[in-house]
Amino acid sequence: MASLNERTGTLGRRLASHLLRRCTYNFTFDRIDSFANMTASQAVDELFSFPALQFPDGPLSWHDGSPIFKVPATRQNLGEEAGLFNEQDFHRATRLWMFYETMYDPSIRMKLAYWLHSLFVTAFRGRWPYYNWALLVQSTAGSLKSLGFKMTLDNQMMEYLDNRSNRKFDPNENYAREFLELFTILRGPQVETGNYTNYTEADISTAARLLTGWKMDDNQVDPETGLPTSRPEHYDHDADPKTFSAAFGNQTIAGALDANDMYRELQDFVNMVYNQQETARAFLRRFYRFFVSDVITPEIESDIIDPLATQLRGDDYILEPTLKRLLKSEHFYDEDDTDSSDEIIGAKLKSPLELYISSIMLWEGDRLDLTPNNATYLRIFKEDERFQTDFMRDMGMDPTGPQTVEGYFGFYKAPGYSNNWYNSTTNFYRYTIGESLLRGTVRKSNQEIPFKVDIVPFVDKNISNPSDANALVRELLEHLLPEYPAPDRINYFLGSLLGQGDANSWSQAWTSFKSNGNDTEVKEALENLFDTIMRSVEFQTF
Amino acid sequence: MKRRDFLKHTSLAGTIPLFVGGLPVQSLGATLRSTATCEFDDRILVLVLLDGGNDFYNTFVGLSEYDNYVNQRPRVHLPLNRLITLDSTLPNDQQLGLHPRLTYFKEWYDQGKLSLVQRLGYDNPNRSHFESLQIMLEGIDGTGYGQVEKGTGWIGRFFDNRYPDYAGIPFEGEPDPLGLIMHGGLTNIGFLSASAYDIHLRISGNAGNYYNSISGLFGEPLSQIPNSQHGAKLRFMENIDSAASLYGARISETYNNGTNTVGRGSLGSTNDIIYPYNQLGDQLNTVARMISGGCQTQVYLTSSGAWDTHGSQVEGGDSTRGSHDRLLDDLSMSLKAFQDDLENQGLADKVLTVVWSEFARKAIDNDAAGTDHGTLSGIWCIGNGVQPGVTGKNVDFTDIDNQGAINEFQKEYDFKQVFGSILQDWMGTSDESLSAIFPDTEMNTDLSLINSNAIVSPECYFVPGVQEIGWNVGAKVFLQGYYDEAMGEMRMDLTQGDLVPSTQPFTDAPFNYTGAESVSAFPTDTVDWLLVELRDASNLSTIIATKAVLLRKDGMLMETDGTMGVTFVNIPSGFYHLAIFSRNHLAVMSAGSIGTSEVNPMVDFTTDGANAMGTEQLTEVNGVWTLFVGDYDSNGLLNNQDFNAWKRNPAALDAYLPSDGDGNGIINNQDFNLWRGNGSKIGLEDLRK
Repeated sequence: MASLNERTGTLGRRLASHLLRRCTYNFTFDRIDSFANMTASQAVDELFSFPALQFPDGPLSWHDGSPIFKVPATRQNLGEEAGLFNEQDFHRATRLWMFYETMYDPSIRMKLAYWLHSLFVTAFRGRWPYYNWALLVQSTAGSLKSLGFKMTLDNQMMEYLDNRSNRKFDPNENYAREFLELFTILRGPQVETGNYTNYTEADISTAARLLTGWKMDDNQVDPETGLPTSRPEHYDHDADPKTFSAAFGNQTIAGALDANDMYRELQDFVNMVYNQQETARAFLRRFYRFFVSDVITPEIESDIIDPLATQLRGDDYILEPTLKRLLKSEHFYDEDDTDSSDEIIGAKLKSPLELYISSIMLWEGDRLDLTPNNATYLRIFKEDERFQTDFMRDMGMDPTGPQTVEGYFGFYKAPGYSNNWYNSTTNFYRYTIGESLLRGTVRKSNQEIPFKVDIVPFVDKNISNPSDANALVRELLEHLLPEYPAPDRINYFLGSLLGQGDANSWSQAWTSFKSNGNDTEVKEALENLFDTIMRSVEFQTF
Repeated sequence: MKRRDFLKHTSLAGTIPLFVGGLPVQSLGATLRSTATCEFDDRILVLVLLDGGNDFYNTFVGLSEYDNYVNQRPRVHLPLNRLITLDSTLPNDQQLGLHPRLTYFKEWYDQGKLSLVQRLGYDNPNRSHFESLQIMLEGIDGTGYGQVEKGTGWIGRFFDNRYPDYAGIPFEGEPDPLGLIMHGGLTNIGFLSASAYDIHLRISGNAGNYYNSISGLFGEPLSQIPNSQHGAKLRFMENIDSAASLYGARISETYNNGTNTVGRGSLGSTNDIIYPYNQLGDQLNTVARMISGGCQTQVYLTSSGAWDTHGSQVEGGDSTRGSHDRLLDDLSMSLKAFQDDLENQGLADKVLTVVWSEFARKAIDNDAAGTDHGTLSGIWCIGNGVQPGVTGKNVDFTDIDNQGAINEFQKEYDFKQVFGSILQDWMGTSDESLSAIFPDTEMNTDLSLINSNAIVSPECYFVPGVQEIGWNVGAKVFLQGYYDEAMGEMRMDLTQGDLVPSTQPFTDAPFNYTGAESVSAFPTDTVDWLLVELRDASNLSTIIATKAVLLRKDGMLMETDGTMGVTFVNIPSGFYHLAIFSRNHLAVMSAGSIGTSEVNPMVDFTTDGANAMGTEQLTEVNGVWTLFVGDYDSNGLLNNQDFNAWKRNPAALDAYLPSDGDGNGIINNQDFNLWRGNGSKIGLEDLRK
């Protein structure tokens, strides 16, 4: 029986790195070792303690070092009118900021933000992407229900799914449909034409009517988030009462009396949808697939998903208590049955983001310097940032524009889920990350990347006894791979370090490097080992 | 024309119906391989995307609308006296004048190799490049809703329907990727399907070097994969890597074996026909060479960029000059080089080239001597199989929407209908399959794009053979006696002593197996031959398939060429048990059944006695589980008959005999002791011979 009982005792390296891999993009050997001495409870609490963002006000301008994105978000206020920035700049700046925060946030926050993005999918539009992401990042410490409300009014979402053109006399069902089908309660089996168990086609039309009359707005600011939002226009709103199907207990929501009452009406609708246990279950399943495993068995459905869904709904969709309970549970560490290595650990494929960023962080690649006004910043902004996006897209995950309104195949597409990250096109790019980090350039374009890895100092710093080849390989693999490999596989990795030599010759080479500082020999061997690990299928899993 | 109206489907369920009858099904590959009267199995479709939105109305100008066209486009219209008249015999409302660059288009038309469909679009046109392209590749309409599975494209669904059990690897008759995208940055959405496997590869750059670029990229495969979810992921990736290597090798091989008969050069530098040094020229050059080299890929997607002519579409006071003119020059020269190259090599009959764009431009021009995103468009089919002509009337230039684009309701043809017609008439797709590929599409008009010599007749339509598949099952066994406790693996005395026959040894009673499995050289670490059977889960005595395979010293079963696992071709999908026979051991059968939907399942008889069906059918040796030795007459029972078998040759050297229980090539009392040690063990009844 799958168990939510809290796992007791210190984690050790294997489970500490499992937790870190699943919950953050930013972890190093040191961090794994420090988490190894914590209990699950201590470690998870630590991950849920959010430090200030690196750039809490968003990306900074290279013109004057001030935040680029301001409120109200008028073209004038953002310097678009004055020609300081254009739309492309806004997109680049947002991507760069996301990338930076993702790399250097030690908590679970950015991973949660990507999860929320995968729940409420949008693609970059106009000058709105930063505000959309700021809302996601804020919401990591809040509730899914509040996010459901605020995302509906988010300007980028308004544009992405056309709710801005949803008017009383010219309704557009696009957003209403996706809100039910893809974002919240999700479509169930079609039991008869137009009846998808959890809602009906008629509910979509009714919800679309309820969502009429909202307009994108440059000047409107949500006082709770401090972010731009849409404004209600009662003249374009369908003010009749809205009655939903039996799926929602035939509830009727009163039409808004005036523009201000449209907030109440929207909140009533959000409440109605979120009051359904199926909505909570849908969120939990998606959390489970993102953070725990691609496989949900009937047992997991009943022992894990359902009780946690009840808790999430009981907590009014505040994320933290439910998620902590799952991440602290015996189940998350595969310790709720006799075999603690057959499920969950290493049972997912890394998304491009996980693969790329965790590679940089684990091997301690150079740190991005985003000090505004310096020359590097502009270069990163104009050139390197572009590379991140292209490279991520080549690997199948462009955070600025998911493949479909459902998001990224690797997150939602059954039955393989994370398998979808890996195919005969993306594997090429995945396996060239290693050489890119060593050379500091990309194979495809020869473009520079700012995350060069210097392997010899890395090993010198992180490995307890580098002159012992066996211990060196063992210690590396323990930190880098989800499961410790079988003996012959260790020999494969060891062989890539030793080449034609043996453990003695390695030991001599290392000693000689330490005495005379000439790293030629050890560097070649270590780069070979590095490359072999980076091109292993094991490193693709997490 | 034989195609009936597209069927309307109201639900996703049943979009891939089961079919019976039709062509004989021999293997995954043979399902569409034609009979003598149905020769369309080598058909190739080359899609040429004009990325950015080609200004169709300055490519083929509607002469019946010429005055209105000039009124709407004071800056960018083409002068009447420079246009090439396509065909003066066409009805007035289809009279077209070609851009002066398009002499080859005129030539093809006159030779019966060009067909045009105009007034083409889809409902609720979207004017975003990416989204319109996505809509056309997904095969939906502009409302974004269709019954198609989200995230799939019509090319992907076409292949998914045709090869429902495609396992991501080359199969008989289809050694090459089913689809190839010839451009690195282009969206691959058209090729996505619900299948667990990609049906396409994407190559950019030099195809001849493709294999080099990926070879050596993949790490060494694991020799043993843990039986866990983690292990399943590792296996999944290794399979893809191996497919990529297999396909990659073919891509480079076909490229390197092929030739081009048309040279390359810079546009304007010569009067010869050349592949221009340009995006499209490069891609078509590669496609022609791969086809010439024997590549059997069925759909290629190529593209040409920069058609988004918002400004300077025409320049210098001559509206036949400017960026659009240069684009058309590049396009028509690239296509000419491709077509000539194919014709020179006798390959043109099997290639259909389709040129299209995500939308056309507005009817009106703009202040920057360009045109903005429009609605309806046109599509060209080029090739020897084309039914020449013009389908659809010239658009009405007086009927425009409030943004100056051609009123979308002038649409006569849906692009899905064009692609559907091509899939049917050129690729032999049945009505049922079409309704699975474009499930929510209802169209009442046929298009005649393929001529009577090339059209696939209905009795030749391909019938998907969902019931027959190819399937690879991994298995691991240790043989008691052969297993060396100290080494933790089986001894290889028989192969090292050159005693193992190169042809499978199960030809005699009780096996009487007639398979032709043989090797020229044994793969590394081979121990001996084994015989495997697939047994029907609902009736264990029913043998579905039999194969002789090789046993590696670590217990893994492999094919005679050394590939891991046992590959069964031509078996019905369903649930099975795997049975393993040795010449001198009690046979075993997997305790659990395995569904063919499971990809590369693994049956491991070494980790747990309970993995074999029945009571104690495996024996433990120093922590691993092995097959009981001593069944020297291979009948599934340990009794005095086995002793008699041993007794016939109680002392033999360098022998390959069933009574050699420890597989060392020597028959002696050790083999007797092994038999005696297992007493009168009884094998599983269903496996007795």
